[in-house]
Amino acid sequence: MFPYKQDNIVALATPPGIGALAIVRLSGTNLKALYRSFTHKNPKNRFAAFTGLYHPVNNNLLDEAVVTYFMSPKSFTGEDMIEISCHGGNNVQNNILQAAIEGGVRLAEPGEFSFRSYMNGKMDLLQAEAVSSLISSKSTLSTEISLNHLRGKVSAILQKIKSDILDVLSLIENELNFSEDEIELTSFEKIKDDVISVRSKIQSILESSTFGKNIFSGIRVILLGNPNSGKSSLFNAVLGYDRTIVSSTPGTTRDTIEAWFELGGIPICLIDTAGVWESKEYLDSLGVEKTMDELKRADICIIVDENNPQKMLNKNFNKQIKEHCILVKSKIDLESNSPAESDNIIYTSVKNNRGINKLLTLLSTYSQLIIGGNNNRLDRVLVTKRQRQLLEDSMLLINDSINQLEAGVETDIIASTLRSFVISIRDVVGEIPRKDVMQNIFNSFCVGK
Amino acid sequence: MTDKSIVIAGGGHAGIEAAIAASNIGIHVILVTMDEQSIGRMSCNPAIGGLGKGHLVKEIDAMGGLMGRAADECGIQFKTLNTSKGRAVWSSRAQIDKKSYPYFIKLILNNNKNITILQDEVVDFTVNNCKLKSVLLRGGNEINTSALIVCSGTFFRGLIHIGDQKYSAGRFGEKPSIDLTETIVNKGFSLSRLKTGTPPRLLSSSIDWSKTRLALGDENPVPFSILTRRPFTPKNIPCHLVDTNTQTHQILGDNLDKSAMYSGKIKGIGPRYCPSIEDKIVRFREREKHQLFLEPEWIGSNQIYLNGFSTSMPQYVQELALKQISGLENVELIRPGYAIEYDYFPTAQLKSTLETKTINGLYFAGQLNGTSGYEEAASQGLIAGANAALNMLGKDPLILRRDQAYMGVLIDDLITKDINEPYRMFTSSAEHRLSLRADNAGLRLTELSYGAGLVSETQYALFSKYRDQCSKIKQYCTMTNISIDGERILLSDYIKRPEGQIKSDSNFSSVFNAYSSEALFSAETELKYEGYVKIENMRVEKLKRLETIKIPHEFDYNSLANLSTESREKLARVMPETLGQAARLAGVRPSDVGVLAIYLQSIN
Repeated sequence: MFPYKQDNIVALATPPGIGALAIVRLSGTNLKALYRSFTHKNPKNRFAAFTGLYHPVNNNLLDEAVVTYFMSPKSFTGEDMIEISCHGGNNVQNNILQAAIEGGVRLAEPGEFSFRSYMNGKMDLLQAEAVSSLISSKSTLSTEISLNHLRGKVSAILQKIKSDILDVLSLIENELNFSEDEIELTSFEKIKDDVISVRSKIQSILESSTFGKNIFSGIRVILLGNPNSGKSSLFNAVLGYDRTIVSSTPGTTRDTIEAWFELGGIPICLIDTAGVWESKEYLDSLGVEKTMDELKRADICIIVDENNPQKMLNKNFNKQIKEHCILVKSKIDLESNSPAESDNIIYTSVKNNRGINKLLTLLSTYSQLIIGGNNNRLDRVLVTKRQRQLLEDSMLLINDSINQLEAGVETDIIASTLRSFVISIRDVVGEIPRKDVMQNIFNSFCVGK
Repeated sequence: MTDKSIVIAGGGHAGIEAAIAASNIGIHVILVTMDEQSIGRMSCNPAIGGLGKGHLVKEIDAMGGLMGRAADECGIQFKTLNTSKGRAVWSSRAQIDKKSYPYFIKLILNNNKNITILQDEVVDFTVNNCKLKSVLLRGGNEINTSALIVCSGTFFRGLIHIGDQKYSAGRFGEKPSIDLTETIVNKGFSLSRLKTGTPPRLLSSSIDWSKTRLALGDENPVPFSILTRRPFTPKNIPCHLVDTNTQTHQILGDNLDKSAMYSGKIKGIGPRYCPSIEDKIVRFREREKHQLFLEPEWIGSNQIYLNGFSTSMPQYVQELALKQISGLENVELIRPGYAIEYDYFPTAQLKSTLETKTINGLYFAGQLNGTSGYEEAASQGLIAGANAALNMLGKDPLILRRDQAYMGVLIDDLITKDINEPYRMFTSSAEHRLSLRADNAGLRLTELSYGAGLVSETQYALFSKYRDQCSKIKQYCTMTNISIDGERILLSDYIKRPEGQIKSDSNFSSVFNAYSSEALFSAETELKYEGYVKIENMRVEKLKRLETIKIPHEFDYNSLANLSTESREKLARVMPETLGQAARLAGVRPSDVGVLAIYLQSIN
């Protein structure tokens, strides 16, 4: 991890390449002087100034830009910040970056802006993780979840859980501080009720988070079928653009190919596979192996056949197929007389754009089913494996304490278990700093974040 | 007198242990007291130990201190408290004969050739280059020394409240010590104010004893000290109990506005600290009675300490309220209960050796650090005395961690937490409560203390024998099968059951008879708690990362931009030594601790 130096850093905040606009960001403990040499104006806090942008050393005009000054601590990083909205195009951006560097500013490391933001108490660990997942968010729903984290909603729920147990604990601790004849003891029943109600809160987070897990990992949909049965054409039709090389020679798709798209807010990963069957020469044996692996990981399986997809189900692999299976009869445009459609088979023609919408509707229905439709609980979804694992640990501890209360174990031990629980919640929200965790989070960031 | 002596100001419980600890290590001590007769005086309740405090006494004993021995010697009733709540919170308490206790202490001190008692008063000291140079006495003498331990616990600038009356005084009948306080303040130390209360003392002959209930001590009393001779057969003088009633509560309730102690504000869920009777009737409104203990102050004493009735009501209200109680209808007060407001030195000014941060060789221990209780004072005395001596010898300091001892918890709490009421030891302050038990104080501390020179050869030999017995018993239990309801299980697994006891199978009585009851109890408890202690350790291990990260001395918190202002001020004022201490500071935000953690790790 980078050390927390407080020197001035600069980075391009928008993707490199040609666009209408680009944003260059600077952060540091004092950027006033630099602002003046860039704009020949005095900085005004949180004011977007349309101005000429000059090289801080040689005064050459670099661009006409909108430059905003954010004074510490009210900025993303908590330091002074300058945001330059300049004209898009590699040349202008690079000139500005170069000029900043020549003006004594260092190029930022990936994630360094967010790291400074964390270091300056602008966000907690959950929020930092949210920024990370927001960047890689593949769908509207996962974006919303990440934003909830960023606003600290999940932290708030966990803090409430923590303070509920602290209340119970202080009751127990208080009783341990007095001898039997000084005070009357609270019944274990009352304590148990309180602990059980906390457990149900954690349960609801963990349940929502299985949903969260799918939302973030997405639904995997695999296309299966004989070589040359039209899987790749269907793949492209579903995505709406030419993603794979479509060829009529069997086995063109030697490896699996995947592409992401969003369906009703849910990220879907569509996987095109090599043909599994009847490739007599087994030239594709590697591809076949990969296909079987993908099949195991898939949530939904689409079986494609130009004659009778139903027959494919009888193959020896059918044990592998998940409950959500869609049968597609492809290339119906080749049939001379229009076939009688059956309910459980979708008839498609990529050429005539037939049946594609029906297929998408069915995919969407299945995806919603798998996700579990608990969309009103978006405020309590954990976004990372780390968070989920730690909360599962917390759950074990709360269960331990309930068992101990039921078994009539002595109070000093019950108190110890509840104390462990509080620490584990503190760990989830990142109150106990861990270098390795921090490293992982900020390393997943890109430059300029 | 050479500058190789440590000067101790004050002969209370802190001063005594400081003198014993330093002399055990081999350094000569000059104990300066205003009144030789007051050495070891128990100025408040006639008891040693109790919840949390009993743990401290066991630890003091495990480290070669005197308090446990003295309590065993002068105790008139012994009782283990909290036996319904798990062994980690079991705690011993002894009622003490207040007359024989100081007598015994003085006998020990007088026979110690490393200790010189001087009847005088420390009024000033000189400092050269931030190092203590000499100590000046009221009588005009100057003692060159590199170490002064201030244990002058009496209430600085004490203000006594009885109802709406106020008196400026130290403890009743004693003159307040002003000069040394002023000196210390003049050297740049800050003062803060605390309030505490005491119960009335009753005239024994005015009590109708036939109407009181008897409260006896344990049938099989357990001594505090490993040095106390076994079998332990102390006196078992009964205490007497009476109950308050609704009339008592009514009278107190009607006069709440006249109480100086009653805060009127009830914070938190319950009482945190021995509350005054007026606080109790408000907080536990639903209770119709509270138990009061009539404790004799010494054998044959006509003065009775009314434990549980700490108050600062006007005397006539106290009398009226007490006269409603069966047995106290004609009670006479020798001295009313009162509240006292006094100065203390906020302990953020100290290091974990109890040396002040600004003057090398100046140590503070005891009540002047804002603590309450003989045991808390004695513990600090021991740590300060040991460290002053070790420092003189150029040896490593003796710093107990929070996972090693209640003493470690006590001192760490003192130097890192803001207090607004006198600090009293509670088991709930220890995150390692399951391993910091009273029964294993020796196992935790004696080896280490022996290494530092605190523990005598005699004590160490006794300890070694006990430790060997413990491990032999444990070994035996993990290798022996027993039959329970036709089922063969390991004895150690059986002991882990809630009902499991080491001696329950009489087949083994011949084996276990060879061992002391204390070794058996410790071994049994170790086996019972093993699993839970493991979990506790895992939890604390998580937090320990914070303890290993040191914060550089005089760290400039301004160099970390945008720490929250509150955290920054707190950190800059307290100057914690480790990240763990920083994290425990009240008012420091967790996110700021995170910032500090990463910063410190990145500069290392």
